[in-house]
Amino acid sequence: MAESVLLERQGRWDDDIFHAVTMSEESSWQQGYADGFKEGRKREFEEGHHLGVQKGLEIGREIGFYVGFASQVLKKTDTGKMKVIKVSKAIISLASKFPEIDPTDEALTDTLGKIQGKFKQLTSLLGVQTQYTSGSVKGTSF
Amino acid sequence: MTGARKLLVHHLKNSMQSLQEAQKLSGHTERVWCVSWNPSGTLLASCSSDKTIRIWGKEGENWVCKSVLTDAHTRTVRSVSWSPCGQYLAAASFDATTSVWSRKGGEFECLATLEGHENEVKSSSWACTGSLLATCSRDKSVWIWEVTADEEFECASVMSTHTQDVKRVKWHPTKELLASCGYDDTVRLYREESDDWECCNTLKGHSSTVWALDFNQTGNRLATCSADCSLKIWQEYEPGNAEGVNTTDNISVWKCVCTVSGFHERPIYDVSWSTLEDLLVTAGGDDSLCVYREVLTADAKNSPKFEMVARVRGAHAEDINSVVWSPSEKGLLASASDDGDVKLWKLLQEA
Repeated sequence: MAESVLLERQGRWDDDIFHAVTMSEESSWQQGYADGFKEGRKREFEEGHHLGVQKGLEIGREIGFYVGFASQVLKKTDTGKMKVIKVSKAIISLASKFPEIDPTDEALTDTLGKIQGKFKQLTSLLGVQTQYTSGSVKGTSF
Repeated sequence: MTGARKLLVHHLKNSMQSLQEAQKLSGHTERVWCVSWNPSGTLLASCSSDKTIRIWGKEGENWVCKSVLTDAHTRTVRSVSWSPCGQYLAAASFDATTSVWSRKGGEFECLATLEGHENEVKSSSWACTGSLLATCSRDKSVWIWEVTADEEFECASVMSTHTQDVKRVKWHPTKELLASCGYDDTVRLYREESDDWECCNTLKGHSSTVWALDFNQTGNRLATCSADCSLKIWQEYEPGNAEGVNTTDNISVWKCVCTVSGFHERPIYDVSWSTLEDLLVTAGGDDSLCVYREVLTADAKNSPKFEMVARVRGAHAEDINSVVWSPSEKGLLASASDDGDVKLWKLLQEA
């Protein structure tokens, strides 16, 4: 955007021979701004991408742990324990609906909270004290 | 404002009653956090930082300590609550567990210890049916436990909708509707929807920690008290209400219809709504007790007014943590304080 404005102006001002001299400060400033903007955008994108990958990894790892746990429970549990089966299935179902695209989606934190709650319920029902520990996700804010 | 004050003083003169100390129950060796009457009003349970629960009962004219329940908790017992049948007592403790006691054999026996909360359990409450028990904790979560036929407790749901410490849970008197409040200044309501529990309402209005809440007898009003030194009354508006208050998804809306402030100078820690009369009582960090009655107004549902009918300053030597009306005797209430005492009070009509 800034670049095209600059080119257009240069074209129009070609008939003024003093223009390049009198306006040099402004055109340099504009060029610098445009370059800086482009560079900053690139760096921010990289940083954002890095943060996204890192946070996504943390969340993915945690949810993966819950799904793995729930799947194992489903395999090992006899059909008598209705509630255990129900909660395990709910964890897997919630995880499959987990929003992966938009980090600003409110459903992301809501669903994560729900899955964490269901997992606590599951461990309580099973009478085990399993917890997800490695880098637990707390208050992800973007 | 001055006019309103005058009117209030006028009212007070007309209807002032007095709250008289009936008995002091000493026994706990540290601060007392909570008192709770059994449903028939024959027993009073209290719990303390001394890690014990005391059961008080009437012998002749006096209330005496009937039993002391010990060894169940390794830290402060924060609150106690009786099941609707009066056979079970749940005790929430800072040791992250909730113990459930049975008095079926006459003696109290620890039936179960509920584990799951990550840290201090602050409160517990039994649903009207007696088949559900709710607990809440500093870990920001509210747990619902199902009581099975063989007296086992199964976790039915874990809800983490509060963003801070949850101070109190309380069930609706007739429906399976749960209310909770806490350090995030909000009140939340939960219901079971398609076989799963969900938060269906968030009540915002208090500007500081909401310490306690209580439903009125019919359950269409909720009283909440807070560290912002005010008492708020919330009215339920059911779907299709005559007032035209919008509801969504066929869920009732609760609106604050009255704020009572100016009586407590410090945080209000507890509120109790009598099930026998339309009276409210609050207790606070200013060591005082206040009793309120609803004043007759033209639009009592949508803009009720409450007047203070009795107040005791220095009711205890330190902060009063808990206050509750007797479920069986009009005008009788119990309070518990940091000073280590439980006190019984009688509301008297002034001559």
